Amino acid sequence: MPIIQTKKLYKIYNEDTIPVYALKDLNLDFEVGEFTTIVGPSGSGKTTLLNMIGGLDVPTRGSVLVDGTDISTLKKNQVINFRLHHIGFVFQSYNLIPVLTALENVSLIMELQNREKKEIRERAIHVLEEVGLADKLNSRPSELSGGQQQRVAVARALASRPKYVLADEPTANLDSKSAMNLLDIMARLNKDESMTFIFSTHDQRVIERARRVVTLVDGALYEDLKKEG
Amino acid sequence: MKTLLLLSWKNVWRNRTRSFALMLAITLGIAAGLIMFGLMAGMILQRFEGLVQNQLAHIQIHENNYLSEQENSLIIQDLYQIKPILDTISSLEGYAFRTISNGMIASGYYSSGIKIMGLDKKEEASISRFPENITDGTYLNDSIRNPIVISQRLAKKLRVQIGGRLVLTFQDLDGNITSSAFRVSSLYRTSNANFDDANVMVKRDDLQQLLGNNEAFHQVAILLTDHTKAAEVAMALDLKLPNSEVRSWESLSPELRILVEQGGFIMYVFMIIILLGLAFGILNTMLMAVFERIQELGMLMSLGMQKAKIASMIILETIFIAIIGGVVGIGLGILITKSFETKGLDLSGFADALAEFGYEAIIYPELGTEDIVITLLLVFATSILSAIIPALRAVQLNPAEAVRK
Repeated sequence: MPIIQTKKLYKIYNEDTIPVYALKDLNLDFEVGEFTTIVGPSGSGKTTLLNMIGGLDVPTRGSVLVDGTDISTLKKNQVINFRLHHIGFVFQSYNLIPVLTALENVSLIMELQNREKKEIRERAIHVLEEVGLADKLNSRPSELSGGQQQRVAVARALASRPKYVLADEPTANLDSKSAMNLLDIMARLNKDESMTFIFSTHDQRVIERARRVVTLVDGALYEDLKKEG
Repeated sequence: MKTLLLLSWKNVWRNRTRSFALMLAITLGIAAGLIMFGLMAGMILQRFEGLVQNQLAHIQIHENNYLSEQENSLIIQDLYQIKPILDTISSLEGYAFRTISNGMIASGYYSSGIKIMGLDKKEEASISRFPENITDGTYLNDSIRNPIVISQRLAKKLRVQIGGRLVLTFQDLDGNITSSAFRVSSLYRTSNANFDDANVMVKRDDLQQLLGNNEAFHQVAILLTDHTKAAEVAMALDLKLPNSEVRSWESLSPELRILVEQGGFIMYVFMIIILLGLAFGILNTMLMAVFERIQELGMLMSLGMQKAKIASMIILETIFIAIIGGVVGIGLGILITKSFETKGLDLSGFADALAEFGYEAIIYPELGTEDIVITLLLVFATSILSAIIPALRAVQLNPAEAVRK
């Protein structure tokens, strides 16, 4: 059974006046352990789709099912709680908290989940080691490079073992080397932790590494390409 | 909660200059407020004590209608009942029988209407510290005949000095005009110019002799150990003395009662005005802090931080800033107030103007623990109130939009 399903998903702005279709009749299934990119030109609906499956926006019509639960029907607080416990986010501009260290940033979600202090620390250190930042535990974001900050953001997204990770153009602000390094790490974590990754991107390097490429044009599905192996 | 506290605390120090500037504003505002608090409380206390000690006492007994008619003939009839009754009052500090006459005082240069207080030095000593106001000469000097104590201000108008001769003219108990010469034995100066202009003191025996009755008393001034019991004691005495009118200081001097009762309230009004000003400063700063962190707040909401926690984080940041500023301000206020508590704040340059309003030239500030605690609570409440708008602004953000700002 797919972990995420979108059924006849529509997002329409100004429906009563001049309707703008951000998403149009999208029917997509995402399986556990996928490494998928959503691509398309600007305004094609990539970010809107990520917002829908991330519970950050509600569809005009249709539904988003996560493990069979329609998250678009949940109450506001339930959606926030759902995001906290089941979804990991990686943002384009890292969005780390500047006053917290790498370890504190990674621990934050688990602390909001009220997990055991010992478990939080062990898991945070483990994922930071996984992303190659074992020596930067106590560094603040301002003391890290862009690539390192994005690796901390990935570690933060993974630390609480969410059902899936959504990444909105994660390599957009990184140089080539940092981007490739980040992709290597995410591919490894995808394999080692069976973590489902869904990216939106323009970056050809990301598209090449993905095992599935969903192409959107004008909010509608243009192509859904699953690579072999 | 611990995470929120840690995050809020660290956020306070994110922009140190701004946080320090706001803390400094709160510190100075609160310190200034507390100093003003202390000075006003000190002024009110000094005015109260001055009036009570110099003239008013806590309770006065007069013959019925004396206070409204001020007739010399209205001498106390319950004289022999009063003393035993007074001796039963548990909170009694002391009492003095006074003889009073309204009349004229005249020198070769000037004359004026005056209230002549006939006092017994020994009795007065148990209720009054009036002799502390003597600036020159000996208070009701027994070694001279008909000694009189007048104020410096009056002496200047009458152009007399110590030893100078003055004539008092008034009605005796039979309504006949009587005059007698008195010698200035001492000069006094109180903080109340109106009192100084209108009151002279002579020996009670001398005045009684001139009035024509050695048992003529117009007033019994009573001092209690606790001024708050005055109304209760006065009411009890009034029931026991049918020919007399017994009134407490609150009733004798309504303006003093208002000053004492409302003084604290007025000070809190001032403090609230100061805090209101600070609240806008806090509100502005915290709104700036929210606007600067829109992306970060959007991220926290996206990750699943509940709106209540976002709001709590902003409120906690505000409370930290306000409490640090407030506590330092209170400390500074106490320090400055305490430093003036023993030596007083010398406003001698404005002595005459202050005296016109009945206030001392040297003010000894008074700061009660209750005032400090209430100020701290007000600071706390102000910080929470001024954080509400920034906190609401933060939780109204759309996380999907905010995270991309």
